[in-house]
Amino acid sequence: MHIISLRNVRQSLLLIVGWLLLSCSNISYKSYSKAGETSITPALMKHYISYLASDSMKGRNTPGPELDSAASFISAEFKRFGLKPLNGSFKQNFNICVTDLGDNNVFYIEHNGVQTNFKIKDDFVPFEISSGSSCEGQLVFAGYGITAAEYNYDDYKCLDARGKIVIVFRHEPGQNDTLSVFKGADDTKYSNLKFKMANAIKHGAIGMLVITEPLNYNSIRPRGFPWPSLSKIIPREALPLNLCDEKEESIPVIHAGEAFVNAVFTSVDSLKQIQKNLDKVLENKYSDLSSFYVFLKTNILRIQKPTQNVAGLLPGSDSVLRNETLVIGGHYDHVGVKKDHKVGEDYIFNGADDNASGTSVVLAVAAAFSKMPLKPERSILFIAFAGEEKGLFGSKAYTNNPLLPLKNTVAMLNLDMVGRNSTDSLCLIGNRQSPDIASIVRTENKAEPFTLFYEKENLLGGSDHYNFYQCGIPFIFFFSGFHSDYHKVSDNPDKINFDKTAKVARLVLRVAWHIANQDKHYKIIRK
Amino acid sequence: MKTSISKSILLLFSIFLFSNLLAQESYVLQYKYLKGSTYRYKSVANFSSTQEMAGQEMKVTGSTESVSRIDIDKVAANGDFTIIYSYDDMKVTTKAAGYDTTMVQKELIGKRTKYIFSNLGKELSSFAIDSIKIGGEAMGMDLGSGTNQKFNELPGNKLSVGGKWSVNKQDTVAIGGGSMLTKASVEYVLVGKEMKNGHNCLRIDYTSKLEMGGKMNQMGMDMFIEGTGNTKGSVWFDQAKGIWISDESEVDTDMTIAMTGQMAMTIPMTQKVKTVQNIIE
Repeated sequence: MHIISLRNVRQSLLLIVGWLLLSCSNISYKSYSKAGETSITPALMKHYISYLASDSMKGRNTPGPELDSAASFISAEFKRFGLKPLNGSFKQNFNICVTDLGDNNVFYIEHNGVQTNFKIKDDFVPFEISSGSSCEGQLVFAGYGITAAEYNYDDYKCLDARGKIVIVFRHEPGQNDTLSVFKGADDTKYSNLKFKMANAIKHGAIGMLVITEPLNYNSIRPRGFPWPSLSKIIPREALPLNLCDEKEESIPVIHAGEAFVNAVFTSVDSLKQIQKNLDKVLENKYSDLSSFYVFLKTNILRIQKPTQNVAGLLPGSDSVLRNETLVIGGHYDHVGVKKDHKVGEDYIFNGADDNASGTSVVLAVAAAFSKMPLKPERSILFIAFAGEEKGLFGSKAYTNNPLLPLKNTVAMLNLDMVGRNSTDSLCLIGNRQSPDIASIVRTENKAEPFTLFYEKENLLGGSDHYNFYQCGIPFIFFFSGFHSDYHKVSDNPDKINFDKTAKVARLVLRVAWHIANQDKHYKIIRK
Repeated sequence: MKTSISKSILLLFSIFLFSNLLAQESYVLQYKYLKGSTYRYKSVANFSSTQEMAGQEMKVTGSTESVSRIDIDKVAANGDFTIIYSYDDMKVTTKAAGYDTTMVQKELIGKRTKYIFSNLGKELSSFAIDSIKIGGEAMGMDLGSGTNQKFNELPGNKLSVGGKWSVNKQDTVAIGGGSMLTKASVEYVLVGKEMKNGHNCLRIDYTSKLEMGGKMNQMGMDMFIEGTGNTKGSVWFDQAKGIWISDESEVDTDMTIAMTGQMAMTIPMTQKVKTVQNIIE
């Protein structure tokens, strides 16, 4: 006999509904898995890498027309995947600057009705941090130009520098003295000229003349910045590129030499005595130079060159978690072409591994998400950075001017060189700094395992994750290691292990899915 | 009273005569190395280097300790001599922010170079017997302590205390797919007699002005070096044996290192090297 009670029926029904729900969610996960992961194939990776690392891309130098072509290709792909542009465009424009010295730099002083003119190169050299402007006013000696509360030291304590031009020593008190009240023989941040300039501006100074400490150096020759225009052999192409920083305030800043010291302090020996006293009492008692009037004009040229990151957003599906973002990025630039190559010689740095491979992973993961029936709860920003090879400029431009708030950016996954070396091994950088994200990678690695290794701590500053790390954002940098073709014209697509690159992309997809569906914040260790 | 004055005059005259004798004592300085003999010198070079980028300085300090070996291969009838130069030991210590390392430069040890010098120490020719792969720390060492001379050039004429001579040198060294030209104008002065390391020596002080310039190619990038420098130092020379015993020098250089190609860089660099070299056997 079989007796079936209503209670038992209810229980059975609940069990069936529960099982069905569970099955449905499993089906969803599986469908994510199938539609997403199966779309990432070696053929897809080959397609992307071969295109980005083709000769027509001329090594994707920043800035350059070929990099712009690569940006247009990535933008079109992002659009095709249904990603959303931010601020109306997939491109985040920014400028790279070349700083050069123009003609007609002028520096003279007037004292007791006598004008003394100084010659550029022999008597003074502008620093590259200088503004391109002119100033004139009374002179004041501001010791080392340092205000450091933690060392109970302030060169501006009894000084009115407003509207004046300050003279400062290049370094800090007791520079080579292990018993210095500063940091012994190690320089502190206060030796940084940018700091000195900012401090001078803060105290109202309109110009800054830097002199070398005569007690510590045999030569007080002005060096400033080694401008190619003042050199016999340094070519103009050696001028470094920098990220333009329009926000930074600056004033004319030059390095002045012995002729200036003799004109103002009578002799180098007198200046030695001033330094000796200052280093001893740690108080600037020699400041009044009001009888000297200075005119200074620095012709610093900042030539702007536009370029762009490419970013596309996959908005999160959860009404709350969508305000939080996971960033998946890699740089799409490389180092261009060889100059002065011989006829017939390969001269294009194709950068197949560095970093067409990482860019292709970003594209493949974005494509995979577009094919998945379920969308992640958190938003995911896919971004291809420019200017990495020149100094991580694209990621710096992003973190300086983020498209989405950094405080809501939960993690960053960086892909840079993921197509070479052993098929089954992969290096994770950030294991120590971002243990939670590393743990997620290890969990998701089980599905299709790599042998993970972590020892490349010295690469912490070696790629775009670094600027996110500096902003306190947990990260993992996926890296397959250096090889003999690194930064050589032989870094070509035929050397890439497309199976491995596809496997990396599938791992990143699983990690991204995990992070983007987790209402959790991750630890960052910044020491 | 009369006697005392005479004695004083005599004494003054003696002093004058003695001083005059000293002043007139003259020397012929010439190397007299013996065929088949080996001379070893211990050298300690302490260096500090400052590079500047965007208003921020990076300091690197360190030292190079080495033992060099000079095997006298041949001595010609006119005194010109051929040496085989090598290192028995070399250790480079480098310290910078977050970096402190000591490396034994195994790749340099025992690698021989043959030099031919005139009997006055002028380099006539040289060639490497063993190939040397210089890189990393060794490269830094070579640019720093490499400014030391193996032999100071001596004057051919007789020289008294206070006597001076000058030497102009120009060396072109092939390095990193390019070349580096160093011009030096050295002023020497014979200071006098001094005991050094148990040897009766003549002390010779010197100062020099250096000019450096060159272009090389590293990792597909063109690298340019331009700089000037000053040297001051002293060398102790055993005139009787015709060998140098000790050399102490200080070199200050201001250089610019620039790169073009994959990266564009212009880096000012200041370097100070203090070197003490002493004969050890």
